[in-house]
Amino acid sequence: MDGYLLPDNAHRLTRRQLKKAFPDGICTKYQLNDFIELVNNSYHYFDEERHLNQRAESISSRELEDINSELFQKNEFLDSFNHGLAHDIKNHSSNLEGLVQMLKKYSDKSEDKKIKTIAHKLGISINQMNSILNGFIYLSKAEGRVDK
Amino acid sequence: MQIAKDLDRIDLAHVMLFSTTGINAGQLLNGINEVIKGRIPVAGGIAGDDTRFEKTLVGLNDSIQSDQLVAIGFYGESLNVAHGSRGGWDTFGPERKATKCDGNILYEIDGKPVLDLYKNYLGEKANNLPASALHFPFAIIDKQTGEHVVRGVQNINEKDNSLILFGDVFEGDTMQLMRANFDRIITAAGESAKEAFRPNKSEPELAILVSCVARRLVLDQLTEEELDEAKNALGDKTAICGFYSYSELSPIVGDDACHVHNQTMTITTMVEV
Repeated sequence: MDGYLLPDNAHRLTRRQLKKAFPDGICTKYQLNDFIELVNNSYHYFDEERHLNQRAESISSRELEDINSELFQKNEFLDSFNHGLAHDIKNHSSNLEGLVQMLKKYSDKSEDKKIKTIAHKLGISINQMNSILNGFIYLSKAEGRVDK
Repeated sequence: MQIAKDLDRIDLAHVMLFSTTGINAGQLLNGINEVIKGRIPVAGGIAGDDTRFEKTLVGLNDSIQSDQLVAIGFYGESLNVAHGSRGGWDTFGPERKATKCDGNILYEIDGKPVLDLYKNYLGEKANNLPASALHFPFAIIDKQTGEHVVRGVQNINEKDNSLILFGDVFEGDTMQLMRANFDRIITAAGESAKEAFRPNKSEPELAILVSCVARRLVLDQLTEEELDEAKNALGDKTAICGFYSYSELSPIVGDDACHVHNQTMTITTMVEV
């Protein structure tokens, strides 16, 4: 009967369906039914595929959300843990600093060279520890994690 | 192993291997690889039965059986053989850890029964298990290289909530679900053909195409597209034959030993020079 006009942007499925239904490039009424069936089947098929994919999409994004919120909670715990830890250590190191200052005062009056050396070295160690700790607190602040 | 020993002669050039399901392909290849040691390429596939998962057949001359393995040895120096194997599936969703498994049986991932996860993803299509599992194969990811192998689901076991895969999986393996990407599945067939074409230099005289039944299942009316892609890459002079499989066997680039592949188009080309 009639030939058909293939659009330039014909989808490969359209090309395939036309070729299958009208192998000679000519439409007969009988073949038209074949074509309609092919097109109809593919609509149903793609619907099914879409449903399956949408389902998979929503389940997997829910799974990812769950994992994300679990990570968020763990992060929050770590933040408050760091916060507490930094402050606890800072308190003790301030104490130590004071005690070492006192020790230095007494060792200055002492004749014992060993005590003087130990007090001096203790002072250096405490200073180093404090600067590490201050650095840590500064970094934590920069990350917005420890507020003081 | 005995098969490999029987075939192994000095001028052995290639082995094609065809098997029914019910034989653990991974273990089979371990035996063969032990004898052949990657000297000779081995390729082939495990027979499929559309997606019925009932009974597969392999024949040699008059003997066609549902529990059979056929290995064909090709001999001679003038035979050039090359391989290509590509999938085209995309990973999606979270990465998971295999937490309970035994050989090719997977019981739990992330401490939860794996069959429940599958049924959840498939929804009403879960009634069509194990065939519907072909929509969602697993990627087993090598954390160091970032590469993955694809493992399809061969069967399910309702009694212990397990999946039987087409290859072995180990506790601690990182896994991720995969799904079909129509365009990539079709172009992958062409890439597989190009990979199998290149080392031969001249146009192959014969190409054996082994394509997973899962590809036919998802491509539906577009199934012939993957064949056309492969044909275009191979050229007009190449005689093409093949079958739809439940697993494909082929070496991979950079490793001469034969491996089990799932959900791929695996191509073996031959030419006499």
